[in-house]
Amino acid sequence: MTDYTDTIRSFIENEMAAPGTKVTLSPSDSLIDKGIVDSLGVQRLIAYLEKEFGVQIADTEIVPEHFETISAVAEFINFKLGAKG
Amino acid sequence: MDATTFTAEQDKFREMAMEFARRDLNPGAKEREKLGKFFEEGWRKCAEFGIPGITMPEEYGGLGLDTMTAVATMEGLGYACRDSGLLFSLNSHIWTCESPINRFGTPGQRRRYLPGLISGELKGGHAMTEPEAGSDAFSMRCRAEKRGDRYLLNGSKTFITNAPIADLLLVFAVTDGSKGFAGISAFIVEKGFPGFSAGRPLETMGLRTCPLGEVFLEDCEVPEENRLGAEGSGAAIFNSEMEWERSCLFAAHLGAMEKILEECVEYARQRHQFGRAIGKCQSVSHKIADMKLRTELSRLMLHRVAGLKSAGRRAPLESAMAKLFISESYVQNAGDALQIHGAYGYSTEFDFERNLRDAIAGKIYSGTSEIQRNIIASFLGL
Ligand SMILES: Cc1cc2nc3c(=O)[nH]c(=O)nc-3n(C[C@H](O)[C@H](O)[C@H](O)COP(=O)(O)OP(=O)(O)OC[C@H]3O[C@@H](n4cnc5c(N)ncnc54)[C@H](O)[C@@H]3O)c2cc1C
Repeated sequence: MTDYTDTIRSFIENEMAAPGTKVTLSPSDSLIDKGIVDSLGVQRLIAYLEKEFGVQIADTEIVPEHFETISAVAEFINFKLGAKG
Repeated sequence: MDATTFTAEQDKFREMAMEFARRDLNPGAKEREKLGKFFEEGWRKCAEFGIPGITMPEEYGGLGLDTMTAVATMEGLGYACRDSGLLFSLNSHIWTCESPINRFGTPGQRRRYLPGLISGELKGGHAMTEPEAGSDAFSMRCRAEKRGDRYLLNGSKTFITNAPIADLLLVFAVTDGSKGFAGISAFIVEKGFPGFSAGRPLETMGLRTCPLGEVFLEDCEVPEENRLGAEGSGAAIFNSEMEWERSCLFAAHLGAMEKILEECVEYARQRHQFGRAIGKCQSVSHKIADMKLRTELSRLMLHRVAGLKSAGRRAPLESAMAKLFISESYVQNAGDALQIHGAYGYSTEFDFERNLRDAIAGKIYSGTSEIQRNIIASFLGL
């Protein structure tokens, strides 16, 4: 099982934080509490994950558990890639 | 009309929808518009025709057809139907209630609600907007508190399409106040649930035959089995709904633009002033050329996004761009058509002024034009 934490962290830190701000996140930081991911941000994050990892994420899978932290996102991607076989 | 992206069967649906609208929906439309009267009989006929069930599964009474067929039908209705409030009411029912129940519902929820929504016996809608939370919808105040096997909903909603006539609404409420947008959940609320009430229809500038109103929830009891999706998935359900609505509802606008364009060409050819057809004046012909351009670009954008949805793809950016472009093009074309027809365009005897009043709403519902630009900018990393 590959650990995608750094790839995902890099996208979130560089692309999702407010333009011009530098953020450093730990894998367990709450992306929602820190205001990094909002309802629109989730859509951008999903578009990125689908493209980067070649997975299809169903609307029913867009639940907070999968997007609360970088670790949760990485775990979810591993699950999706595993399911893809 | 030309619509090269449709198959012969989809084209047939569009033609049939046009005929149906002329025959069954247009009689009395002007009078209803004046009075702001919902066309109950027309709703029933639309359901008989199969409109609410086009893309719905056959096991619940739907036709089980693809998204492009729904778009073709809506284009045909938009072209020929003069009761645009009824079309808007139907579209809200389909994209913001029936379709999310089909996609997010449990088998039990689908069995309970889809047959009635498809047959037209039940009317639906969704309730997100609140007096203090419009574009910033996720800052809502409406709360849902878990009490045993039910939720108690408290709050109020406003500008809710179909609220005065709805049998059920998809109501969004906060289940976890500490999580922002991730603490919002969706509930299927029946009008008969204790603590639910809807206000009288609000007076509006356009879409006057579509009832729009307030909803009040006072310790409204909603059984747990009526929560749609998991707790906290309200934002995902809402975003998904909006994506579908932005991808399909605006087909009716495209149809209306096609009709208006044809009428403008016809009028510019036959109306003579200063000894020649007004279409020979470049300021008129160029206006019409730009109308044609906006109509064709709208078609390309709409068919592209509907094609993506038909293929099961996500299209948040594409649907925002299509919604923005089509709704603004419709306002522009409706205004230009009115100008080209001069005082006849301004007169309530014809449909040009109504088209303009109806068109303006499209820049507000489904997320305002400004919010669509925010979505586009966000996808560009801004
Ligand atoms: C015909 C019609 C039908 C509707 N049906 C429904 C329905 O069925 N269910 C439902 O829940 N709601 C419905 N609505 C409500 C609709 O969703 C809201 O009107 C819409 O989201 C805008 O909210 P608001 O009217 O409170 O305006 P506000 O959000 O107060 O906005 C006022 C102005 O400020 C602009 N603005 C706000 N924030 C920003 C920003 N961040 N950046 C740039 N500009 C901004 C807006 O674009 C707008 O021009 C309907 C509205 C209409 C007109």
